[in-house]
Amino acid sequence: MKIMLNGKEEFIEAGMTLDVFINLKGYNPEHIIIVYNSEIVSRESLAGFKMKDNDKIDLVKFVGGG
Amino acid sequence: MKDVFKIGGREINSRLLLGTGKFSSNKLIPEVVETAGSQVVTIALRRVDPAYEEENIAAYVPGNCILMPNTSGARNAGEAVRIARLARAAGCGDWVKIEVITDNRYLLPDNYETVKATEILASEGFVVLPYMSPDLMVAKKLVEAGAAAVMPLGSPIGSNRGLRTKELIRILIDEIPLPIIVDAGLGRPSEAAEAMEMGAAAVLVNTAIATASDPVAMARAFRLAVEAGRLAYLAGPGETQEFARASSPLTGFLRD
Repeated sequence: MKIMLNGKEEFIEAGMTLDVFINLKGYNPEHIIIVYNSEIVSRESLAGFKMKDNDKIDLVKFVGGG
Repeated sequence: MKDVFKIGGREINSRLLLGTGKFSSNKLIPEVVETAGSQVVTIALRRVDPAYEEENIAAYVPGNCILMPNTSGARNAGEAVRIARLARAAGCGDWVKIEVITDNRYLLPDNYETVKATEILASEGFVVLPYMSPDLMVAKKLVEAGAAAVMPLGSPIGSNRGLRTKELIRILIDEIPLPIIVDAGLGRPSEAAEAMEMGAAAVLVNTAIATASDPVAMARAFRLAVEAGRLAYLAGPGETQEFARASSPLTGFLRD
């Protein structure tokens, strides 16, 4: 199925859960903020969170800024 | 009398607000914040870059500070509002610096979109500090929109060119009933002192400290300059004169 990750198309296995996806991408959920269809997903709910076709995921974090 | 500085009803113990961008190492940040004495510290929100693993900047800011996310990267009010909401949902608190920019050469803010974003976020309970090009009418609209302070630029972001907009900022200080915080462009402690002497409530400094050869020492220099400038403002500087005025009596000279 197709999802949008940080504004870019990605094709992934249907029904994948967010925890598996984040792990596949090599990120530690402790260090990033996961925004799924404009809502923040808590770390605790990642495991049971099934992704759907055409969903949008933004992985963001706080960086230095003035 | 105690010199109290308040933003959004909260007493703030330092008139030097600090940005966290451009430091050669994030490890410098805790000592810089402590040396600067800053209580309000800005950070930004970005998508992660798969090419390199950047640390979470918030972990380097001492826990007693107010983390103020900026909305940098926003090109309009809608994007600024989204970033602010995300930052708050991610645990950043209610403070936000509005920054809406489409001009990539001078990074000058879009005042119109900034007013719109301020209105929306203030109505949602944010403590909104909008970064703006100094303009009296826009500043008045920001007051009406519910801003907690107004942050005019001294010169373009990161330029270290100082207080080039001085006369326009002076008008804001005279006319606007909110704290005026000079944000962007201050490159030397003397420029921060100048802003404070003329009555700015505070300054926000990032590049000048982060890109100094010794950021910790520069943080101390800015802290002292901000304190000196504030003291001078409260002390009420004497009037300037076009011609010399002798400091000693013009009588009783020892001459024939």
